[in-house]
Amino acid sequence: MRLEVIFFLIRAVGAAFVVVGCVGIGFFKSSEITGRITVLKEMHRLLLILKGEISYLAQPVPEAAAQAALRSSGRFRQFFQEIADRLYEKNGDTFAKIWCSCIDLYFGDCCLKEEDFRLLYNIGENIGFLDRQTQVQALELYMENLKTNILYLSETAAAKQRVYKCMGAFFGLMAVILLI
Amino acid sequence: MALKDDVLKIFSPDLRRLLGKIPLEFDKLLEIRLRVNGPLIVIEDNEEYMIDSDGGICTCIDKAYIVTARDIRETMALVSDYSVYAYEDDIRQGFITIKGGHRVGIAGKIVLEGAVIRTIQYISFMNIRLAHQIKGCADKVMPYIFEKGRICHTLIVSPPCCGKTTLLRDMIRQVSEREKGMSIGVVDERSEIAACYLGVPQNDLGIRADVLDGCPKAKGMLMLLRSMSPQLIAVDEIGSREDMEAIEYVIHCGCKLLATVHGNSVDDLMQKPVLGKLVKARIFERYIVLSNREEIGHIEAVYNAFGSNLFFN
Repeated sequence: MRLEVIFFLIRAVGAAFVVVGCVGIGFFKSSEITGRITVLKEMHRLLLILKGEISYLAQPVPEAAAQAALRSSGRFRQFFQEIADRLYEKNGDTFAKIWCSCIDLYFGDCCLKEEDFRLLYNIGENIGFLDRQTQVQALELYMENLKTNILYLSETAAAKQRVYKCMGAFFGLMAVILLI
Repeated sequence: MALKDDVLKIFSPDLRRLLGKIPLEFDKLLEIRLRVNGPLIVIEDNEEYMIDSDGGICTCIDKAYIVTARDIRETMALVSDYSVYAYEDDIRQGFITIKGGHRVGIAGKIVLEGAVIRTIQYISFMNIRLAHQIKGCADKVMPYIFEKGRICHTLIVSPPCCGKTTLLRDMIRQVSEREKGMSIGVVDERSEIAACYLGVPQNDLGIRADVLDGCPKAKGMLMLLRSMSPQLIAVDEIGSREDMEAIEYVIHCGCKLLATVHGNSVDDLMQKPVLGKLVKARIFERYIVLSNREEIGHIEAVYNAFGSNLFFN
């Protein structure tokens, strides 16, 4: 009798862990959506600073990146500072190579999707060799694309987050039922 | 070593590798020339050398390293700090000043907008002129440009490539650093005197010099007069009517002037329609005449306003 109670308790605890784990995964996936929107919004803001440095001051890219670094924090500051440092170094790499490798280094482990990376890589491939007006227009185009993505994600975020949380709980319960 | 490191950084990886190995001292190099599909050439002490694929010197074009379009493209990206848009005005003028005060001349296809040069397309030729400030080259003339403790309005007269800008630069530095130095406003229209890079003078102009970089001379002189209270204004290569009008204004405001002009002698200047009037009116109190008769920057004479030679070599 006592053994049965112990086994029952173990199963109950196990089931609880499974359910909590699955619900946790649901919440995690839900928070990734919020995180993705936050990263894209911050990138949009910093591209605005970059655009301002270029259009108003005609700052060369290393200086513009250094200014963007000063006005940001966390991984964004590190990202722009690394770009500025490597550009100042002039080790022979193209700007696009430096930009893309820094994207991978500082955003590779965050919640961005493949389409976000494609957009960010494209930005790097179109900076530095155009005249000022075209350069600004190119940046504005990418910023517009980013803004569209951010708007779409924001509008669909609430629904998706509900789905993830519910699915998490649902699969947790299903797993418990199947295992039991 | 710092000069070599600064200069090598602007070249493409392939050119950097070769130029890093050449058996010549960078302190003595005058120019590095890149021409698409042409040999890599460096000039030291007015002697030309071709560089081969191992970074050595060769005399035969068949062994010389041939500069490619990619070399020029990558070098241009590095010269412009990956930011061609930031150097639009410089490209329009045909040269970019880089860190260290060195000038990169560029040539290619000119794109016109009406009669105005908009930009240079298909850049295929680059001439990297290395800057070498010669401190002390004005030592011989400095005693002659002061009278009763006050500096005179001085005009340096020189044919091209005889060191007038180098002399002007050292004169500015020495006046600026004297014990009772004067505050000097420098109008550096072609970025040759101070060679500012990102607003920072790459040449030493002393502790009391203010620089207007890339500004037309006439406008620059008036701006400095209004805003920086200079006691002396220095300009390079005066010649236009607007320059002369600005000079008359500056002088009549009580500011001293130090300028340079193209010419072989003071008599040459008298023939010029606008400058000749200023010479005949004895506006300038000293004329320093240069030549390259014995060496670049050779001082031929220092005349006062009445044509008497004060200088004996």
